Amino acid sequence: MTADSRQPTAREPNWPFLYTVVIGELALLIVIFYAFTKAFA
Amino acid sequence: MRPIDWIVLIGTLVTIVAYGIWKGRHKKDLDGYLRAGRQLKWPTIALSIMATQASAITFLSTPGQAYADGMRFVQFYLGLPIAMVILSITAVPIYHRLQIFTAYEYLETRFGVGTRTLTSILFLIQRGLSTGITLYAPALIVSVILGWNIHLTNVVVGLLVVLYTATGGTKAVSRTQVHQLLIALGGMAVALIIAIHSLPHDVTLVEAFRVAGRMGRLNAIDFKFDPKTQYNFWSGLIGGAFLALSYFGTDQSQVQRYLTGASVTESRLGLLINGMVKVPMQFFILFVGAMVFVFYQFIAPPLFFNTVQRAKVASSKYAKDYEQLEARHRQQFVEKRADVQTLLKAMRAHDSAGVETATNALRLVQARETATRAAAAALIGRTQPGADNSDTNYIFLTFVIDFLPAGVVGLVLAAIFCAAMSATSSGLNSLASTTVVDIFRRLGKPHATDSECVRLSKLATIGWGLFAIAFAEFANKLGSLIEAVNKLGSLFYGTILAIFLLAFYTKRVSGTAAFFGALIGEAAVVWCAIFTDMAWLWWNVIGCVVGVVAALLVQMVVAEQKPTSPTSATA
Repeated sequence: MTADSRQPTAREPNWPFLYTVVIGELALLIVIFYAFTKAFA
Repeated sequence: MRPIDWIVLIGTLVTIVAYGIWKGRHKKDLDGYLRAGRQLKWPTIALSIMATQASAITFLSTPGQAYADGMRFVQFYLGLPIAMVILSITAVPIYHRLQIFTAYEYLETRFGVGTRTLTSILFLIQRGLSTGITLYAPALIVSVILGWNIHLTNVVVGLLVVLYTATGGTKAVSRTQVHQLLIALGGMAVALIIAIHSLPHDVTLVEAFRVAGRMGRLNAIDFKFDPKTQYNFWSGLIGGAFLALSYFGTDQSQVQRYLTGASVTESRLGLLINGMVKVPMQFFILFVGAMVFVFYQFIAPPLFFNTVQRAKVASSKYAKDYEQLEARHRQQFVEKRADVQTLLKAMRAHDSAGVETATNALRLVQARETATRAAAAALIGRTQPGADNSDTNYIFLTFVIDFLPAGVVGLVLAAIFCAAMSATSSGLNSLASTTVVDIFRRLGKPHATDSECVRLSKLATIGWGLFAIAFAEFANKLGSLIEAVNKLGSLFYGTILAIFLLAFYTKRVSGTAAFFGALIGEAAVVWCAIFTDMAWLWWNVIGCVVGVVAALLVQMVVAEQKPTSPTSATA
C-alpha cells in the first residue's frame, strides 16, 4: 500500500491552532516553573 | 529483595517479553519488519517516542540529579516542544512523501550517496555506544543492590531485549513500549507517594516544598545567561532545541518511531503530544528526586550512596580517613536536622527574620556536608583510580531498596528494567534498519530480496545487541549516566542536524559542500569538547552553525558543481 492510496484521516486537524497550543503550553509551563522557583526559594 | 518483589519483577518482565514476541509473531516483509507496515496510530507513536527517549537512565539518574543539584535539569527539555512543531511542519511531510525506511535515505535524494553514508556511519557510532550505556543502567542496579555479577546481568538483560526485538521488529518494539512506559511512570508515581507519605507526620506537603526550595532543590528556572553553566533557561531553550531537532528529526531511533504512522497526521500528532507531555513528565521525575532529598533531611543518608565503593574503601588503607568523614557527616546531619526543625518552626510562626536566619544556617551546614561528600568521593577516587566516584545514579535506588515496602520494590525495579528494555529495543531496531537499508542494501547488494533484508535485519539486531552488551562494560567510567548519554549524542547531533538543515532549506548547496561542511562542523565540536570548558549543550549549536556556514563557504568555492533537485531524485 502506498501513502497516496491510504484512507485519509477523517478530519484533518487545524495545524496552526495545534502548533500554537504546543508553544502556548510551553510558555505557560515556563511561567509556572518560574513562579514555582520563586515561591519556594 | 523479598519473594513478592521477585514475583512482581520477573512476572512483569516475562509478560513484557512474551507480549513483544506475540505481537511481532506474524511473518513480515521489510516494510512490516522495519516500519510496522505503516499502520500505527498517534497514541502508540507518541508513547513509543517518549519511551525511546526515557530509558532506565532517565528514571535512575534524573532523581539523583535533583537530589544533588536541584530541578534545574528540567530546563534541558525546554527546547523540545519547539523542535516538535518545526519537525511536524518540515520533516514529517517530506519523510512520508518519500516513503523512506531511514532518515538518511532522504539525504541521498539531496546530496548523494557520500553524505548519506557519512551520516549513517556517524549515527551507527553514536547510537551503538549510547545503546550500550542504556543497557548498562539496570545492570548497575542489580550488581550494586543484589550483588549480582554486572557482566552476567548485562548479558541477560541484553539478550531478553534482543529476543523480542529481533523476532518482532518495529511493531513489537512500539507495542511493548506503550506498556513499558506506563509501568515505568506508574512505578515512579508509587515511589513519589511513598516518599511524601514517609515524611514526619507533622510536616505538611507545602512545608516539604518550602524546605526543598530553601535548600535550592526546586530551582526549576534560571534566566541568568552563562555559556559555562550547564543548565539554564537559555542553554535549555536554544541548545536544547538544536539537540531535540537533531535527535527527533535525524536520529533513526526516533525517526523510525514516527515513520510507522498510518499518515502524516498520525505522525505529526505523535510528535506534538510528545512535545506537550515530555516537559511535565521530566518535571515530575525530578520532583520525585527533590522529595527524596527532603526525606533524607529527616532520616540520615549514607555518606556515599554506592555500597560497593563504600565497602571497598572500608577495606583499604583509607578506611580510617573514611570513618572520620562518616563521623563528620553524621554530626552535620544532626545539625542540619535541627536547623530544618528551626526553619519549620519559623515558617509556622510566620517569622520571616527567623526563616532567613534558619535558612542561612541550613545553607552553611549544607555546604559543609557537600564538602564532606566531595572529600569522600575524592577518597574513593584515590582508593580505586579510574573507578566511578559519583554516586548520583545510586541515590534513588538506595531510597527504593531501603524504604519502599515489599512488592513496591519489585514494581520500581520492573519499571526501571522496562524503561531500559524499551530504549534499548528501539536503539537496536534503528541500528539494524540503518545497517541494512543504508549500508548493506545501498552499498553491498542493491538487488537483495525482501526476505534477505528481513533475515539480515534480524542478524543485525543480534549483532548490535552484542556490541551494546560489550560497550556496557565500559559505561561505569562515565559518571552521571543521563549526562553521559546526552553528552555523547551532543558530539554528533549538531553536525548531523547541519546536514539535514542544508537538505531541507537550501537548494544550491551540493553534496560535496555538505560533506566537507559536516567534517568541518564535527572538527569544531571535537575542538570545543577537548580544548574549551563550554557547556556541552552548546556543542549542538556549534556543530550545526559551523557545519552550515562551512558548507555554504565550500559551495562558493566549488560553485561549478550543479546541485541535485530534491524532487527529481529517487530514494
